[in-house]
Amino acid sequence: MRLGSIDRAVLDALLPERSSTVLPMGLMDTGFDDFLLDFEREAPDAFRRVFRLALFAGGWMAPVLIGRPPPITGLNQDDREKALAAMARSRVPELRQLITVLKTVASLHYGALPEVRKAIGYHGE
Amino acid sequence: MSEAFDYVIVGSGAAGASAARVLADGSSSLAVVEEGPAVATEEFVDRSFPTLARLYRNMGAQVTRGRAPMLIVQGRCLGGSTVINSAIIRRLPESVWKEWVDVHGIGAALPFAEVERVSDEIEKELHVDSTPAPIWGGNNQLLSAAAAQAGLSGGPTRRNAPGCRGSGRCNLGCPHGAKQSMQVSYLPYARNRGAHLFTDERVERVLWRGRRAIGVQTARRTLTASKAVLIAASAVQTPGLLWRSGLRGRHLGRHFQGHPGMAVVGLFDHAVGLGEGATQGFEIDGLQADSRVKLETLATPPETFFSGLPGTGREWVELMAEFPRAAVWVLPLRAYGEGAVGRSGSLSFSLDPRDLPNLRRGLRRAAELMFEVGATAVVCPVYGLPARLGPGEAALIESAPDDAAAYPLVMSHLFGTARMSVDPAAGVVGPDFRVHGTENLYVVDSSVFPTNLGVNPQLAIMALARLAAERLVT
Repeated sequence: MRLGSIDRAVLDALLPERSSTVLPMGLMDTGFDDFLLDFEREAPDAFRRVFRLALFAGGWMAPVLIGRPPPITGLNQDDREKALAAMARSRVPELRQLITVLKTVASLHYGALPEVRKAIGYHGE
Repeated sequence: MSEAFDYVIVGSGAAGASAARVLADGSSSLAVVEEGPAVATEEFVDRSFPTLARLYRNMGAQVTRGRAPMLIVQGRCLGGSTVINSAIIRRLPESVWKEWVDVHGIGAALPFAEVERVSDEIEKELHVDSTPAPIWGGNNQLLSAAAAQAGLSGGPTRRNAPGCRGSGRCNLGCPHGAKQSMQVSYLPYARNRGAHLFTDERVERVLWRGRRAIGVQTARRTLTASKAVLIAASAVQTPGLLWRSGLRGRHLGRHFQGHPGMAVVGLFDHAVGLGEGATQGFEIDGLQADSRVKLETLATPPETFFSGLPGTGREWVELMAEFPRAAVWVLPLRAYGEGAVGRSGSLSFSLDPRDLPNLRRGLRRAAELMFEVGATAVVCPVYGLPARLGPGEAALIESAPDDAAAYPLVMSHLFGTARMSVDPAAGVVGPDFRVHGTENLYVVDSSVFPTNLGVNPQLAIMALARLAAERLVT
């Protein structure tokens, strides 16, 4: 799949750059598009479908949760992050589960990055 | 293409490989058929994504249906889940066996002394021993300190991993071949005695002549069995294979049980070294009487650690950055709840009303233990709780919602979908492991367990499969 601007805004708000001095790299600065090609090739259909659904929900439903009109690209960075945080805290379990899906896919990429592993002192072998 | 054997075993995990080891010792010819690939030790990598894609069923994303979906973790490769488990070896608890005797009436079929005898043999063959202190690492050391401080029964985990270097990578496949997973132990043993191992081949159905199983059909070949067909495809896949093979029964696919569980993360003001040390090298049994949970350590790669943390955006990244100072402990619950495996392979599971209170008590106690050994904060990723609990706030866990959807549950030990019963109307297989109403089709995996165990089941699964195979050749 190719990420559109709304998808990118969702992922950028999910794991933004300069969030921490230890991990200043944002998800979208780390080659996530290349990872996504692997994900599309390897992941089961249901996993890929629910990931796309999660991106859609993040882009079009999360803004509504903070009283803002969608899509998420119409919000500034702070509000984008607030919108996703609201989705993660939603009373609707399905919305929380979709955030979990986004975080899982993002983590599979981000947690394997050599620069991330080095920054958190994970040496592996 | 058709090939002829005395026995055909479907599945190469703990159960299938254990049966193969016994049958290969005789003069019989034997085929083991595995749906997943054969992956060599040298191919295991320290990254979760390619590992999940290669070794795990559905890339680790198999979930139960419903409002509170639960991840169901299974291996799908030669050696099955033994390739990706933490090598934990626990005996079938006598209390559970007594329950099987008293409630399910199968004690005469499985004398406890016999289970103990084969367990002894397996432990010897797989070089089972307690995790040595030099490879504990910080995570296991903290749980050990917590057990000592609180006076809780526990100890270093007994594992089938001689020569373990404490690389914390059990769940990605042991990179050193130290863990005695089936693909480096029993399966080579069987192959060296003539067993044929077929990989990347899904068995479509069992073939019949009347009530006699005469072999299995895969997409590529027919494997005939002159003596018996043994199903060891797991509690999730075995019912589907039996259905596809024309078998029916009120209990087939039902009584799906397991140990749903979740993790708590302790944050310390010193380095812990989560990525170093035995993956699950220490355990506490002392909470089981009160809350039916077992408390274990779990080393995780960063990918798994990150995805389990609460929050999004800055809050999430700040927690990720705590990795060097984090300890992760997990609590598998001996749930009362049950579910079912559907004919299409769909999974359902519902907790019993008693389960969440037990889990919350266990989580609270785990958090308290973390604080007692110096945690500055505890992350208990339950909906409705603060992202970080401070010292003195562990009691908040007991006020968490009474709603399974609030808990990020993962289930890894699976049982019961073809349960053993003396009365054919009460189960799927008889006390001799033979499917009721058939002459020679046997189920030898954890599908036959009438209940869950409360402990890691690998050894119990191997023991029962071994007993089943021994009875076939004696």
